[in-house]
Amino acid sequence: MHSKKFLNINKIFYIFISSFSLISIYIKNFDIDESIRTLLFFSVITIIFEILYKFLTSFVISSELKGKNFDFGSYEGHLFSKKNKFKVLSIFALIFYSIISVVLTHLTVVLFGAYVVQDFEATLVFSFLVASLVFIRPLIKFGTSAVIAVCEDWNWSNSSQVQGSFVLFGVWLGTFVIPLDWDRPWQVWPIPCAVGGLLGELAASLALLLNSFGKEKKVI
Amino acid sequence: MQEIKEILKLYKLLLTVLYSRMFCKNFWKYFCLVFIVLELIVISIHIFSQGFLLTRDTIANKSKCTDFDRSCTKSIETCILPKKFNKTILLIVDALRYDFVIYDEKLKNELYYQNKIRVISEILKVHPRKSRLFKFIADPPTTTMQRLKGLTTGSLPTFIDASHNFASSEISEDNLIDQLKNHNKKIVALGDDTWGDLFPERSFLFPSFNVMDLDTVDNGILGHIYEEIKNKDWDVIIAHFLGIDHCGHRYGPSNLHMASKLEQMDAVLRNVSGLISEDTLLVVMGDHGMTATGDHGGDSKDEVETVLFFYSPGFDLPVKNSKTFSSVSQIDLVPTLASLLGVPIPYSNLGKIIDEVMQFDRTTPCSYDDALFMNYQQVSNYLKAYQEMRNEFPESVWSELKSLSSSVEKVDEAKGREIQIVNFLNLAKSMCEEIWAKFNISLIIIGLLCFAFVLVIVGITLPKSKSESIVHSLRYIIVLFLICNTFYGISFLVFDIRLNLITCVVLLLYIFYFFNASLPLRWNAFSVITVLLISSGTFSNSFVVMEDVVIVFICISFTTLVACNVFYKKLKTRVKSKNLKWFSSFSKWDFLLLCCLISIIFCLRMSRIFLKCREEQHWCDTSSLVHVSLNGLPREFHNARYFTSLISLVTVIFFPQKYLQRCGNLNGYDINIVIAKCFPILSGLLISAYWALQSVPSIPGNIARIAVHLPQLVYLIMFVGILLICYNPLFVYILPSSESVVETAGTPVIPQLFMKLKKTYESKSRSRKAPVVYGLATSVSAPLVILISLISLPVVVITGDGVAPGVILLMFTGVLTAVFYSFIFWDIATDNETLLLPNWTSIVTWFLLSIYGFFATGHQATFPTLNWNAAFVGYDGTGTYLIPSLLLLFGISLPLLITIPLSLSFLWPPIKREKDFGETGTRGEYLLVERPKEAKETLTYMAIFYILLHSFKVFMSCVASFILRRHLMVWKIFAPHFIFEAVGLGVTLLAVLAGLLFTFRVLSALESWIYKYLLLTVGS
Ligand SMILES: [Zn+2]
Ligand SMILES: [Zn+2]
Repeated sequence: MHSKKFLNINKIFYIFISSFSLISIYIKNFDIDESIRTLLFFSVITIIFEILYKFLTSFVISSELKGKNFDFGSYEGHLFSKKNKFKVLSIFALIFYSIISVVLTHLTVVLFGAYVVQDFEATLVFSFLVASLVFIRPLIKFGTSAVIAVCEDWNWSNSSQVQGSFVLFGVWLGTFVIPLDWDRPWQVWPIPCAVGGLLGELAASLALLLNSFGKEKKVI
Repeated sequence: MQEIKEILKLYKLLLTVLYSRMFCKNFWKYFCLVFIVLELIVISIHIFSQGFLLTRDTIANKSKCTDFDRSCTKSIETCILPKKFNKTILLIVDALRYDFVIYDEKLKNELYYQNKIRVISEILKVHPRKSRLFKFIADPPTTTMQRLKGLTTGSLPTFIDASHNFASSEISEDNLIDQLKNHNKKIVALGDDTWGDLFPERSFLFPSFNVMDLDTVDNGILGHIYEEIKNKDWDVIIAHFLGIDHCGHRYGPSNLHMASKLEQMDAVLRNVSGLISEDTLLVVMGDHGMTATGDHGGDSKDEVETVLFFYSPGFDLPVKNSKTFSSVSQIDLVPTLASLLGVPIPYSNLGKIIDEVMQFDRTTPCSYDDALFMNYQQVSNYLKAYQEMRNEFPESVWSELKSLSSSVEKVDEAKGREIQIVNFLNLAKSMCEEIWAKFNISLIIIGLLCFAFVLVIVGITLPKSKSESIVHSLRYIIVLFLICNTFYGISFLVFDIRLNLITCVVLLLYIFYFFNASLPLRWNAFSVITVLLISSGTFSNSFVVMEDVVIVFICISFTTLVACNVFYKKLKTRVKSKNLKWFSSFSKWDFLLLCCLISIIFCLRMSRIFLKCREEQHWCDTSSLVHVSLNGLPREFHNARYFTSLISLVTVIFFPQKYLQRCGNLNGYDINIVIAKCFPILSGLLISAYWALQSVPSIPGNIARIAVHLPQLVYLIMFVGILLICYNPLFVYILPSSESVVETAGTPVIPQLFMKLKKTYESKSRSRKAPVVYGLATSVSAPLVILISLISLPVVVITGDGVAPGVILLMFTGVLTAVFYSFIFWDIATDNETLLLPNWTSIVTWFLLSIYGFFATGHQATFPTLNWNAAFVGYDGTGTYLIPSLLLLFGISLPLLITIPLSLSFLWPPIKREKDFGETGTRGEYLLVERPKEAKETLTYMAIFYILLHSFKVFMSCVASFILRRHLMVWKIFAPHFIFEAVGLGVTLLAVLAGLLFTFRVLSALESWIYKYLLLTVGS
């Protein structure tokens, strides 16, 4: 079914893009400016991809809904089935929420220990990365009712939940590398946390992919 | 006989009355349990520290010429032995391992570090009678500082050299450098700036902290040394090269860089040996070796074997017969050099002069034998003085030494004494090594095992279900306690602490008998993981150094996780009810909870201003606005800081009062209520006056005398206040006329001002009057709040005005945390039963706060960062050392402010919810008085669990210290960390006990008051 292929494309894309970013950071020897650029690039690509994906799937759905009763067989199905009116107001609301999420993430990161004034740019790029992966993605996918999609019981096929929590966990784990006195280039802020986040994203996409293959097997 | 019996009966009666008046029923069971746990933990740590902490007293005496038998020097006009050399060059090459200087031409496939230093072998071949090479054996710990101390004093420095200057590394004992200075020798030092620490006032020193840098120190020395040698006006040159040591740390010995460094050393030695003349002695040595990875600190062969090489054109030594080189102990250098240079052997030396470089002229008066006898005299005097002072030499060895000593004295002739003296000196050295340089591994293991077993037993006592009481196996624990302490006591009498092995076995037997594998009541996986995470940080030196920042991060993470969990569950239930307008269904409570969380995180983040830097945090800049005393600040900051401190003082005085007034606890005219209102204000005035006086750089004498008394008055106020509150902890007030029955509708958040006392014997009562009681809903917490506000003021004055805002911030964070958990518990709990159960997450948060409290108030776990000023607040420098030590201890025991009110984390502040609690929700803490058994159980559970958390952290610190005992940084990082943790644990344990006792006192006072009151109302 088209839907499944679409959803798997989603995850494969993320696996690809996060591996690509990780490798490019590694190749440039964790140089701080290059890494920040890579992270920025990654976040922007993620957002653009999500928007395109949303357009594509809603176009596909609206064209296919005209006939059959569509069974997506996957989690996000029931939300796609609603009619998505592309009101201009809702787009502005989305943009507004996205910006708020970046600001709040930045504040949270500073509260958790990042410097307030020093490394401001690095912290901002990092917050943008985390916000785009954890908050903006569900916002684009589900609109302003994104919270509902996320706040359900834990479900391995719920990609927003899995991706969001894995990324946050990866970021949190990454902080433990910072106090070590090994004097390595990858211990400079914000690389350990960003790499942790990217690794979390990678692991989440892999897990989601495996999960959907497992489901297919069950169906078959 | 009869009278004695009568008196005893009277005493017993008095005690019973006192006991029943003071404390509630069965109180002693809970107290016993907590006390026994406390005591067993303290014993285990004591056993461990006996084995781990090597201590040595220093004697500050200096050797004088007159200490020695100078019969041979009478004819010559010198102080002691005539010097053989006018000048000396001491080249210390850090981490020069022995095999680096051995040249073996037959070697094929030589490693990077082999055959690079050739000059030593060449000189030995070309001038066999002018040079000597020895294998120089260092004594552990093979760290540079200890080794330099050993190389200059001739002694075995250990970790705690109890000396005058505890916090600095200055040597207070007699040493070679001081002796040379006193005999008017001019000394030039080049190289490592550690020499500046050891012997202040030096020249040409370079910073050596950056281990990555291989060349700065060495090139700096090379820039000066040749000129200095050619310059004729020196007597001793000391040069300390660091390149090889840094190269080893960075790259290891088998490395191209090491090869080039060794070749550089070779060139230096070649040049220097070429420049010297007949009256100059060249000594080349290493302070220790290095392992295969280039590190050092331990006692492996590679680390202890280093080089000692003597060369002088003026030497005339007998030709060596053997091809092998003998081993010489590092402490033997000092007496040898002292004898060769004609100064008295330093007082604390334990070494023996090296005969091979002394035996070169037996015809002159004063030769090797006289030198050896002087060596013996010096060591003998030192050991006698030390034994008199400490009496810690083992009896058997000491008596053998005494008999050897008498046999030496008996022999008249110099020749015959040699063997006896050598035996004496060897035995003395091995005895001192036993005591001072070797860890007592068996004691350490016994201590660790005991500690582990006690912790398991504490875990076992935690009840597994609601019906199980925490004191259910108390009698067995008492038996255990008695047996363990018996053996512990016997081990002291018999001076053999290893007897405590039996204690270990007894503890293990107890565990076998009572072990129950089920998990304790209300356990929580995240709490367990957090505690494990924090405790395991002690195994890494980075995490110990960064402990302050790591702990605050984990604290913030943990609190956020708890809050997110709560919000997530709420959102889930709301989403499930298909309520899409989830945002509007947020109640006021949730919003307040969110605000609380954000404030806690904000406070924790802000408190980082007050962190103090430690030496290893080289990026850190100690905020000089906070940690410098007031009169050390530039004038323009005085006012700002003084007013900030005043504001914090005002906050800590007035906020509790305002709060208690709103709760209705400060009504009435009882003595304790008067104290609660007046004492803090009084203390506050005294403190602000004291601080104002501190800002003046120099105050006239009589005002200074008054200034000292101000803090003393504050301490007095605290003690009197505490005593009076303990005597009468009731902060409730009954309106005199109980005519009116006042119904109230208090605000949801703040406990009610009025409390209707419901009569349980309504059917039997004739009068329908219900009295109005103020403050019953917070009757248990109010005394604790007042206690803390009384204690906080001396704490604030001791830690100083700079850090005072940090102390207040910490207390405020504690209050916010209590409010945070109160919001959660009163919300989650569906009935009184769950409300009265202990909760792991809040206790873990208090544990985290109390650990962080140590750092957030400007302390670090190292000796150099100790705030010595604290010892002088209210102490004028006279009298016993007990007072300043207590003040110093109090100064670092900031977690007291978090630990003593541990009971506050249970149900405080009481919040009324418009829920289906019925009226019981409005009772607040009165619930605790109504349900005494549950209250006592939970409070004891909390205390025991809290003790378990702190003890576990210290236990891991002990294990880490044991495993890392030969790590390079053990004396710099791990051992001080252990000491601070152990002392902090001792204070915490006492504080938990005190807090628990106080809470029980309050509960029992309330119980008896209610009982008496009910009797009165029912009776009327
Ligand atoms: Zn060294
Ligand atoms: Zn070193």
